[in-house]
Amino acid sequence: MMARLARLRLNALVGGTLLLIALIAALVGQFAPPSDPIKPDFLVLLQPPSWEHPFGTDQFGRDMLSRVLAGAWVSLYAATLTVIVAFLLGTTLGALAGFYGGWIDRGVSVVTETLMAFPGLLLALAIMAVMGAGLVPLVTALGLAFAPSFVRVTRALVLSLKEKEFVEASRALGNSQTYTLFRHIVPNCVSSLSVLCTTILALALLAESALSFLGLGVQPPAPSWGGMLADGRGVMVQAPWMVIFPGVAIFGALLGINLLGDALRDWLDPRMEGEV
Amino acid sequence: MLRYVILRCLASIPTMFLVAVTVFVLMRLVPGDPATLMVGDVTQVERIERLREEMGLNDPLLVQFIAWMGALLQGDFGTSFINGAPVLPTLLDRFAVTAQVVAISVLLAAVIAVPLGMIAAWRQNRSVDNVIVTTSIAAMSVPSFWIGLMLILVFGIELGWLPSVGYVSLTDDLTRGIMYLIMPVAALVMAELGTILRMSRAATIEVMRLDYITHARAKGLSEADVLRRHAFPNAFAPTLTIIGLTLGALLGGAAVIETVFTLPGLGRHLIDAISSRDYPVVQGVMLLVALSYILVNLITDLLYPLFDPRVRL
Repeated sequence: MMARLARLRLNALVGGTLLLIALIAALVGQFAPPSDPIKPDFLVLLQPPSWEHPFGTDQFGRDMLSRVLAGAWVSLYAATLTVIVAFLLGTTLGALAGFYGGWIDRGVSVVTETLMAFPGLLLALAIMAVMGAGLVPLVTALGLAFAPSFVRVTRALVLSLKEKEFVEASRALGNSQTYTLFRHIVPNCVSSLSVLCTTILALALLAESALSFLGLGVQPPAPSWGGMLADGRGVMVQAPWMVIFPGVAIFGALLGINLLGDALRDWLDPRMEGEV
Repeated sequence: MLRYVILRCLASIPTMFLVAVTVFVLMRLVPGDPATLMVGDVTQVERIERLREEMGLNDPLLVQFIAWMGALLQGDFGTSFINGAPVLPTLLDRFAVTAQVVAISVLLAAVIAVPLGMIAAWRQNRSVDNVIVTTSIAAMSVPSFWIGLMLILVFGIELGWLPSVGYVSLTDDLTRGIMYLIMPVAALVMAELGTILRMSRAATIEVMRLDYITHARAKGLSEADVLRRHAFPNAFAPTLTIIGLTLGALLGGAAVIETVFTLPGLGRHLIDAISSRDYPVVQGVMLLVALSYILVNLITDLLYPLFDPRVRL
């Protein structure tokens, strides 16, 4: 019990700190990078880490520290947008399906089941094959790929909540169905959905860096962590720092999100509490 | 039991049909005209028009869909825009490579993760559990392709122990084949370990609270016997589902690892096809992966009653 509490606190603390560092890095990278993350400087190609360039420089002489910081903005921005798209799409459809049932429920189920019949990354790749590479296709593709999780969870939550007394009370007061759904039921789903949000945020960040690594996500010269790893892959014999630092950045951000998510899940899920 | 098998098999047919419809619709949404893409020269209007007629692109969509489905059912996945070769034979070759890497990785990951998850559950909230859980969170946070790059950096370049990139089939030369597979498999195992471990832990925690476990302990069985003979079979059923899902997802999602190690797998084939706008190949990979994903899930579901007899009802 003590060990569990200690782990929870430590997880929340370490996770929160890591995420805070990532957020500060993103803000610095976007608004005040040490040097231009995009403009080439052909006088300092592939320099190893030094006081002037703590993370070294890449094959275009760009400061890797500035690029990793700017990449934090790009990657976190894309991942957060993905979660927002998946959340809005998924919870709306899931809530409607769970609340109204009938043909709406059947329709939503068919769509979700079809989407879930494809492994996540494959669906995203297929959508990007149609829409092309870039940030907007990336967010759309990943948002669609992750939406079914939100649909399922929200639908199940709404189904169990709609029989509760406070919902009856709202109906008895003469509130409309839609008002009851969005004013009383959906807000009660939020805490359970928040855990899912952290899971999907981590998966979205991972998928974004994977797709950018494959050259389908954020397009160069814009810096993204996955894209930087792809740039560094060809020259990693001469310049290992190019594949070390962006990877550490992805790892740190993911670890932060996952640790926070784990603490949140334990905190919200009473079943995991208590005796051995 | 037979009823369950038949019903479950029948239930996957509509899903397969919906997958085919989705792929068909997606491929019609591709900007630009396939015939023009194939000819590759907008000025040859006549040739394009002839090709459109040949490919049936002027027919109504429903007619096109039926013709397309008919061809698929006969194993005709179309021909590549790039080299004009039939799509399917290459796909199957590529699939064999991916399946090999993925199957070995998921099997290894399961063999490591399932017992660890059970030990963590058995010692829930003690220090062993905390170490295992925290390590699994850390493992889940490392992108597989980055581990791959780091492995190449250390074992391929610095130490020179293993070949960095490339592929030799296990059936051609077993020892060399294994040498080439060690790093990609290691990267995938590390990446997938966490998910399976967490599921195994959660499922075991649920089971360990049930009365029959207390009963087994009261009979005086050793803890090892309780875990192995009583907790494991019940806790393994939900874990098996996750293992199946992981296996299926990796069949399409191994593209990144295949890129890192330049393995001639299906994922790499898909990425190349997307970059060169070779839509028949994109379509073929999608169908093949989605079908095998459904198939893997079907097999998992069919194995499920072996571990959880309640499902047989």
